[in-house]
Amino acid sequence: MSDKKRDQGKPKKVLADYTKIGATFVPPMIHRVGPWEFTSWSSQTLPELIWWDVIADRFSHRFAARVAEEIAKHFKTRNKGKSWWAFISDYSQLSADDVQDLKEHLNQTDVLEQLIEGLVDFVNLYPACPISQFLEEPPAGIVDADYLQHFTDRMKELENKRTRSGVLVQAQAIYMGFVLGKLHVREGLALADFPEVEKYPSTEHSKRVGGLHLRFGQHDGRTHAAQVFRRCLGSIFLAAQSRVVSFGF
Amino acid sequence: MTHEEQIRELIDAIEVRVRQELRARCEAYKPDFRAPEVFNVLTALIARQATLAIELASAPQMWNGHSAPLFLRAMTDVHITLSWILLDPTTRARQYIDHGLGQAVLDLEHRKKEMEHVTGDSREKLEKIIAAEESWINAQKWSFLVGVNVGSWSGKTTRQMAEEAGILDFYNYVYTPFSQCAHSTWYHVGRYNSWPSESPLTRQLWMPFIRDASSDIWNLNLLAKYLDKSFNLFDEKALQREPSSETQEWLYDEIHSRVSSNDRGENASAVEGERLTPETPPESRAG
Repeated sequence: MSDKKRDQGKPKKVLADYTKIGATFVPPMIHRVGPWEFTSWSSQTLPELIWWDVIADRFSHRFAARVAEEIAKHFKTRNKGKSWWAFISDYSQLSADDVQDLKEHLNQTDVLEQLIEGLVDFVNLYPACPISQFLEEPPAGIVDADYLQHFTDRMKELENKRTRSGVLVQAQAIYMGFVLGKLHVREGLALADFPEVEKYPSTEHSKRVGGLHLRFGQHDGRTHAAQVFRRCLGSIFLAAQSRVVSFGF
Repeated sequence: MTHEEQIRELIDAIEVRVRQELRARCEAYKPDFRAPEVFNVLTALIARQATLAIELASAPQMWNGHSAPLFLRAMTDVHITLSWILLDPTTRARQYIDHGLGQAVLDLEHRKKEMEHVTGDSREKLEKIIAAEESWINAQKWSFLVGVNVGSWSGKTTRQMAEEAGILDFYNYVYTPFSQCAHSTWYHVGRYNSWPSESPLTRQLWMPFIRDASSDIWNLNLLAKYLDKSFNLFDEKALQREPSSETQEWLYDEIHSRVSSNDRGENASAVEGERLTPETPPESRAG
């Protein structure tokens, strides 16, 4: 009997595919590919992109896309490092003059007023948020209980990154990458048909476009995002703690 | 009021007090969202400590040398774990979670293996258990990416952890003696479940028996002491404030005010660890 046939007859041991290193059984995927660096959607990526849903929810996805386009156009002509300007923490590096320049551009293109209107309730939940710089005055930090509940309900949908809202906030970043000229896609790949994402998830093609898994936050190899990731939702959690959080004892 | 009613009221008061103390600490603790694991693990451990205290306090029939050490040992374990994690919370809270997820994956793999031999209703039930277990793991990290550490979660012995945390005496005088009961070593079994034969003809034989261990309310004093230790450590290290848990003192007063002196068993000897000189057992009641 060949070794192969003999092995087939043996019962397979638990964790047989794992590799034992010291006291640890390492899963095959980790062992073959090497150490992985994990990016969490709920605690890393979503807090950075949540503001796009705030704007789209208040007005429309079309308006959110327009804001993204104008911001990207503004920074395309300026040498501002490798940021895509889709992430909240990108705005923490701007000086007061940079912010003023950006606001002037958004005002000239007729999106600033609406943008501020869309963001004001959100930044009141999180006054230290870098995008609060869009406002004329620092946010008062007065929490609107109804808005907080609405925001919490939105989060329930966004927790799943494959929902329409989840995919569309990710699409904002992709769109900005295209406008900035920082993202190039080979012809024939699903992402080359990017506008199709607007139909997600009603067509099979839109699912292929929207189903691409991108590791936001590590697009440029920097660690800046790690410094501010999670603060946004963290602050909102603290603001909301006494209202919506129950410890269960 | 009957003795049972006095005890029941005392138990209710303990539960209310412990829950209040726990809640106050969890509400005061502001999580760092750059390292949510720290919040998750530290608050879970003090909740575990509170749970053990409430569960033991709620079961007067377990306030004896057979059973109380099982709970008290678990409480000392929690305290050592908490103390060691608090020396480097960011790294060690993650390590603690990763080990737990690995254990869950190992359990999952064993259950999948079991599926090879199971049929009918049992198979359906097992499938549901596997799905639930997998879902619990996946909510935290994809199960196929979780390593399985079959060693100790910290990579150290409990003694080493206690030593590094500066509580070696606690390990020696509390954890180790209570562990004898938890592991049913001769140290414990030779006192509670075996005794030299009464007859000089068979003196070399030790007879099995179940030691009569009456309920001793002062076991509550010990659980309150360990609860205070963990809450106070949390106060100092996590909340960075003066230790403020005084459950032991409060409980002492409660026992004196609620339970009549005859029922308090002032001569009872609930002490840390085993009773070193147990009374001679009454007639063997084995078998």
